[in-house]
Amino acid sequence: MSVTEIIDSIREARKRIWEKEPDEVRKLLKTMGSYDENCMVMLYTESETRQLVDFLYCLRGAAKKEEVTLESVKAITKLVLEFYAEKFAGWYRMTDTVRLFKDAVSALGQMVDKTEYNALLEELLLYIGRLNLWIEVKIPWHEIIGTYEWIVHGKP
Amino acid sequence: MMPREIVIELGSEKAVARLLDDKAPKTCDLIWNNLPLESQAFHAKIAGTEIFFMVPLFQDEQENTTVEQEAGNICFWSTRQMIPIFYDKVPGLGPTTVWAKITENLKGIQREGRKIWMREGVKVRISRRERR
Repeated sequence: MSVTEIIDSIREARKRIWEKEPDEVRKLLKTMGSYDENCMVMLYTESETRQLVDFLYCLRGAAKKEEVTLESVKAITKLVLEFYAEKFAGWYRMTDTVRLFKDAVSALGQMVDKTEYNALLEELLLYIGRLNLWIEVKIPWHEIIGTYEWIVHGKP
Repeated sequence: MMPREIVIELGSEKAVARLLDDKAPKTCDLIWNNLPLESQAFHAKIAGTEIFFMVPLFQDEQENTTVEQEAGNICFWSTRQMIPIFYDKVPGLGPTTVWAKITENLKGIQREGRKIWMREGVKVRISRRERR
């Protein structure tokens, strides 16, 4: 696929998950961690997708600076996406997102200007940001917070 | 010229906000030109009495920034492509563009905000308020 085709495919994937919960989140709810529990899988993936958005947002900002070359941000972005692809595959079996990251790495290898880089990063940010919120909404934060405050701080 | 206004439908509540065109013209235009916007609303975990929702928009230039937020401030947080709505006064976590202010039914948004703290993910829709 060309750079444009990859960016378009990420955009389409983001539009599909904007209003409809992705299958990947349903699968995550069945992915078990230590002692056959799902809780930490959800807490970790929520945290890591949120952190990845911050990383990619910084890289997008860096690319806007004249002194930062396209080749530099491409190299760092490739490292970040490959790191998360390996982790998301191995730890959480997030096959859809991993496929999307691999396509994005392929686009990075082909792109020749910062306009393409910015377009790719924006679509990645929107996709991962929305995925993060689909995970977040599955976590019963209010009950977790209440239990934590009770156990750790003795609040009724 | 009459100020532009938007309608915010949040869960079971409906409120009206006035755009701060004179203070944040670029952000106001960006949002206005992309209405209606629909999303899911979440509650801030650190900032206090703030709900937020994601929109597929980028606006890097900050305008009319403030750290301390008043009840009814509607902002744009570029890092996460989020629209935060502050439903009570908070000290704030960092400078954020304030582009609109709730003028009708802040109490309804406050009621809904407290509900969202207990259970996130309610539907939110913002649209243009058409004048008759």
